[in-house]
Amino acid sequence: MLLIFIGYRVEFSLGRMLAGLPGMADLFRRMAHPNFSYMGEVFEKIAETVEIAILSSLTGVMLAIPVALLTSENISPNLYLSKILNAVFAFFRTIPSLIWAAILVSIFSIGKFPGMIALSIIAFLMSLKLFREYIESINENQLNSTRSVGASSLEVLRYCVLPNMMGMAVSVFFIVFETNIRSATVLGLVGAGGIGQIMWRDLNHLRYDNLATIILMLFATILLIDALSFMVRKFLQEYSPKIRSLEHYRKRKILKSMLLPLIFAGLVVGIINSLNITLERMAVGFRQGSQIVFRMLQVDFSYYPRLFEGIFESLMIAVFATVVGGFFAIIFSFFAAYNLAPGKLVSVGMKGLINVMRTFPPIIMAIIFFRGVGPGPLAGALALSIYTTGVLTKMYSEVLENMPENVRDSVLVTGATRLEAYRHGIFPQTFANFVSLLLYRMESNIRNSAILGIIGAGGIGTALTMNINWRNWERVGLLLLGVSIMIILIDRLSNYLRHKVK
Amino acid sequence: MLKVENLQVIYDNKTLALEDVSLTVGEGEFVGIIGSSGSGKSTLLKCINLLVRPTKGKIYLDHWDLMSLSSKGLREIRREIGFIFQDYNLIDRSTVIDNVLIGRLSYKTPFQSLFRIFSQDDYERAQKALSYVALEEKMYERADQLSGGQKQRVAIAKTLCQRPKVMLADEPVASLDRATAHLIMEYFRRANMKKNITILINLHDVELAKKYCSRIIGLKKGKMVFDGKVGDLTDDVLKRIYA
Repeated sequence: MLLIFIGYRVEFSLGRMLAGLPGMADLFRRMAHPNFSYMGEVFEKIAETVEIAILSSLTGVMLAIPVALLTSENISPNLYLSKILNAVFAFFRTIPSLIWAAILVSIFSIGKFPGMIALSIIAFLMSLKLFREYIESINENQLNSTRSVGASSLEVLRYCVLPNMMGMAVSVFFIVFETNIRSATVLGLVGAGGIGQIMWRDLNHLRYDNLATIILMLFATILLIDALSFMVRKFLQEYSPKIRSLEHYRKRKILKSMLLPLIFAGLVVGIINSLNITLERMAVGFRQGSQIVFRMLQVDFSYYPRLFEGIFESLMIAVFATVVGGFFAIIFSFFAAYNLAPGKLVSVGMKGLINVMRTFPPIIMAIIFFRGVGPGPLAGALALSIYTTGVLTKMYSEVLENMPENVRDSVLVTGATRLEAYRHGIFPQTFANFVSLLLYRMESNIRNSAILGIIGAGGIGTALTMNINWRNWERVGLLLLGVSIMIILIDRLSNYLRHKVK
Repeated sequence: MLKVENLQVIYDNKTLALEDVSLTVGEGEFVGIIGSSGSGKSTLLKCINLLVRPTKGKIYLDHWDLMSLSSKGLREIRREIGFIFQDYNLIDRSTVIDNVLIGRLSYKTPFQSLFRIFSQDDYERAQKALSYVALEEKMYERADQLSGGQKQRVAIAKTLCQRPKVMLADEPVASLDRATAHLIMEYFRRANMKKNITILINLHDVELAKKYCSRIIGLKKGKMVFDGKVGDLTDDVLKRIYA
């Protein structure tokens, strides 16, 4: 019932999908002949995308470390300051990267600079949250044990909090980086640099051969980066240098404590140089930025009908994608989990398929669906469904793989088939985990559905981009406020439900 | 040398943790503090180096009045008071020797500590402290690689690096098995005998207290109900403490 209603709201129509099939097939046929002579230009743009992702992740993580020390409630010098800052950052965290980029493009004009800043903000907010959660989990006795040797509060930070944070910073960097590389590919849709720019152009010019080249190369790049980041993390985890003597160790330590600040300073200088920021441009940006913020604060409440309409559509897209994704994930997970799948080959093949499904940001997938079902919420909902299926299958099949073997075996010994064991033993057993993962996906889908509208795939994003382009900042203020409130409410609700299920 | 007068601690303006506790401990004493959980043992120890600020009362170490010290003075006096926790509280990601070096922090200037400049001498002291607890060969391993007993030995080495006059230990063996518990207690005994360090130790195991301590203090609901020699700790007294 619910699904039918939601399906209706996203203008779901089997007829349209069927009618769109030849178009889609045609699209894929044309994409089957990638234009390899185009690779040079694509490569250049991919390099720029990777550069944006790396630099912004570095900037974000580096900024987050000192701010985390300031905002963590157990070590903050001022409790009220940290409470206020945390509320502000929680509000900012609800604004999707592409919206940041769109607004910053209006401030600093087109180019990779606004993209860099947008992703740095996202990286900063993400890593700040991770760092803060870690610091707040340090128990009071751990801090006390350093205090009790007679250390000052600065020394407690330096010797008790920082060593663990530095180790954590590496893994935080990679988490942020893997998110940012995906976001960076779509920045170009709003003119904020990277591969998205030429992708958007080729789409509008119907150059599907070029598009195929881009998508293939993008896929390879993302796979390569994921593999690389996995290897580096593994290396760092297992790395332990050979120490010859106390003196050797002491010298290493001195070198390290001198080198680290130098590397840090070098990175800052390098980032600033690569952006070729001029004071003049900053001044213009600052003037425009403050004007925009000032106008956004004068919220235009009379625009609310469009806000509710947009939010409702976004919500429907997100719910549709979560329900559809959840349904397919239950089925696909059985074939993807190596301890359940009918054969090793099936499991490997399934894993390959879900990796393809989750590699591309939903917004790119939506562009492909335009060809089949035309622009609108249906394209967005389908794209988000595919992405959700991919991510959810990956996560849930990992839950299944980590499940103790005797849960499965206890059902298998009754003579049940693997599928029956899954249906009647394992699935009910892990249902709570599944629901919890599903709710996390719902939270993420809400954020994703808010940006689909930027390319015309329905939801609140359409109204947002239009008003950003027309510079109706009072209306943008209202829309952002609405999106934030919706996201915070959904997060609260899903948090509550998660606790309920457990 | 250590004198506590009329100590009172009230948490959050309502929970009374300690009430009117007074005691004097002489140099080189080995004092065990016993009592059921919630009796105020931890609070008493944490008051002595002011990790918990008493609501009323006075604390003296030698001629210093701890309550009236500036924060700089307090840091200097904390150097003289080592503190060992039940849950070790080492820095997991740092190496063993880096953990021990934390004990040298109070001998460093702010500049030295900010840039982590430890001298040859600091390193040698740390190494000596580690060989004292027989963990020299684990020196360059990460602290989270060690077993519970080994972690507590590192914590003792760290404290010894401070060159303290007094060591406070809050249930240092409560999470360890019996054999390891005795091993750790032996280290306290040796620090007490050979280095003449005054020791105050919280124990919930009365047998351990009887075996290693020379003087016992019994706490019940924040009040001191017993203070005497191990020999005077009769079953009647124990009943009074734990009933």
